[in-house]
Amino acid sequence: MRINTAKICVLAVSIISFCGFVYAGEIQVSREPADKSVMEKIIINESPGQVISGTGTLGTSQLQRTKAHTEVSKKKPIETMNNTKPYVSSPDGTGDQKTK
Amino acid sequence: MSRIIARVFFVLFLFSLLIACGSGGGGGGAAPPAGGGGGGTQYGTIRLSNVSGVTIDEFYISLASSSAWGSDQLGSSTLSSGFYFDVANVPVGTYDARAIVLGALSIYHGDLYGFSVTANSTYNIVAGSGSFTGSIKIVNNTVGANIVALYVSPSSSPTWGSSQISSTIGPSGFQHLYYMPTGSYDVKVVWNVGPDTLSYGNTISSLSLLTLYVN
Repeated sequence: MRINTAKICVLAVSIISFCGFVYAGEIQVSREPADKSVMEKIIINESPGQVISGTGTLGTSQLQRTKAHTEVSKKKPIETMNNTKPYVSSPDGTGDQKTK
Repeated sequence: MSRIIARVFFVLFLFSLLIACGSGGGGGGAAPPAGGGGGGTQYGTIRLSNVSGVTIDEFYISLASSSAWGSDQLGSSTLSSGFYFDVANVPVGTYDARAIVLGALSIYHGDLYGFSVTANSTYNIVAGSGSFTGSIKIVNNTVGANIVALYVSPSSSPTWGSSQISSTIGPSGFQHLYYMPTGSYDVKVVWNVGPDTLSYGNTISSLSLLTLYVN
């Protein structure tokens, strides 16, 4: 089998350039520390006659409803820091096209 | 004499009846409900069960039709993981809820929209470890270049959207973005010199801060 040196070189260069193109530096993921004494499970003792009409789970959605917070938060040290702000999502189709 | 004593007892009886009526209802909430019958407004309870592993600092509920979250139901207290908190005497209707965690690294929220509160029953909202938004922090890791534009958009989106910064970020500076729905995001950094930096498929997790050092 003949090995085409030129093709191998082109492949190597393209792989290296792709890696360099994508590389953005160091990535670090930090998770919030858990409560010190976390109970395994919530045990809810229902009083007689009490009815649980439904259960829902909190979540995050790309389509968040925009409701104003009229009350000043208890403590928001993060929000008082410079260069810290809520993420602003843009609708699809706005801005430059991604070229992957 | 006995007639006077009888009158005094009668007045005392009326007075105690008045007090009993005034303190009716139950719990410890604000305005006591009118009870099950009577034909007035009916009430239910909203319960926030925290199994997230972290402390919830704020809890908001408001009618789905309302444009504001209103006041923090937790007041000056917080809700540790493993515990629940009841908001009693909630008029029946369709509600939205938001819980906020003011973490050591960032701030996060979890939402539930359009759930129904029915009469004389409890709606249970569960806040789990995956219920909250995440955050990203982009750090300029160069010694002499400025970030002039920063784009962060969901990987599913074909476009970059608008820039997340309004002023340039110098060397060692950063931009911290919070309240990001969890998922995969692409990041594009535009420098004042040199080519753009692109980073695809960065995972934003609940209650986590992703720090990206770009150069």
